[in-house]
Amino acid sequence: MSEWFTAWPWWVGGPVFGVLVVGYWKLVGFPIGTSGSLGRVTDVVSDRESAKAEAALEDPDALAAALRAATMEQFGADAVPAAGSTTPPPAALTSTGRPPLPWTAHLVFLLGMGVGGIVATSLRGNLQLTTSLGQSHATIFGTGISAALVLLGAGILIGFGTRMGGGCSSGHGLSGCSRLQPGSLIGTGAFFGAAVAISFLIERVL
Amino acid sequence: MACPMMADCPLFPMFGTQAFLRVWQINYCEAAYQKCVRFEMASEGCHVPPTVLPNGKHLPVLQPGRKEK
Ligand code: SF4
Repeated sequence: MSEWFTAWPWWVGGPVFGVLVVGYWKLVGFPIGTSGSLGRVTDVVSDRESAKAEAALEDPDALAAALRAATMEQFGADAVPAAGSTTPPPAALTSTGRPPLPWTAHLVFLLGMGVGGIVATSLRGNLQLTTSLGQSHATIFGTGISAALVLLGAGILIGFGTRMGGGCSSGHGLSGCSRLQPGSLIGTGAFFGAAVAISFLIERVL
Repeated sequence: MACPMMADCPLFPMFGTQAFLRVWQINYCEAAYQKCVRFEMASEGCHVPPTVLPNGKHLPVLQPGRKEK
């Protein structure tokens, strides 16, 4: 039986994804996104710098000055009353009403994806350790070091693309498209369209 | 239509604390949240630092990533 037919059927996978997207949004308060989670794990250092900036803005006077400057820059001096006005400064800028998940929670989410994949494959009875990426991949890119180099290059391109595009197939494809975000609709159309075209080309060439 | 992120966005209530800050709510949260960078980032699953403004700029205190001297 081909790999295609041993996968979970679409009518199981689709609703599970739907429940996941809505459930994650309800529980966490942010849209689900795998590359976003990976970014949170790899951005631990810059997040600390960001936390320092947030801490600086917990001083109401610093926050009032920052908001005044930003408003003036965006909307012009006329939009802002003269300095020394008697309006009280805003309260400290605390984090979100629902604080973002710590990077460790994102790490657990990423590990959970791996565990979930193993469990799902086991339930279908076809769990096995393999280094093969399929016959097509071996035919086009060979095996061994050449296949590894291709994977390395592909991984770098995917990382670059998801950072540049602000999301991946889960962030744009699941979260963004379900919220009808124009950027996500275009992005998903572009990367899935390219994938379908390349797959089609490979099938024809092979 | 108003921004669906209002309940969770820390800047939305902040923009209501002083009369002149309402201009942000009027121009973004209430009228055109689709062009708010905070909304865009959140919609794409990215973490949105509270210091990012709807126009994509950071509140001018200490830019994240900039080292303190
Ligand atoms: S600042 Fe942006 S994300 Fe926050 S409530 Fe306003 S439009 Fe929405």
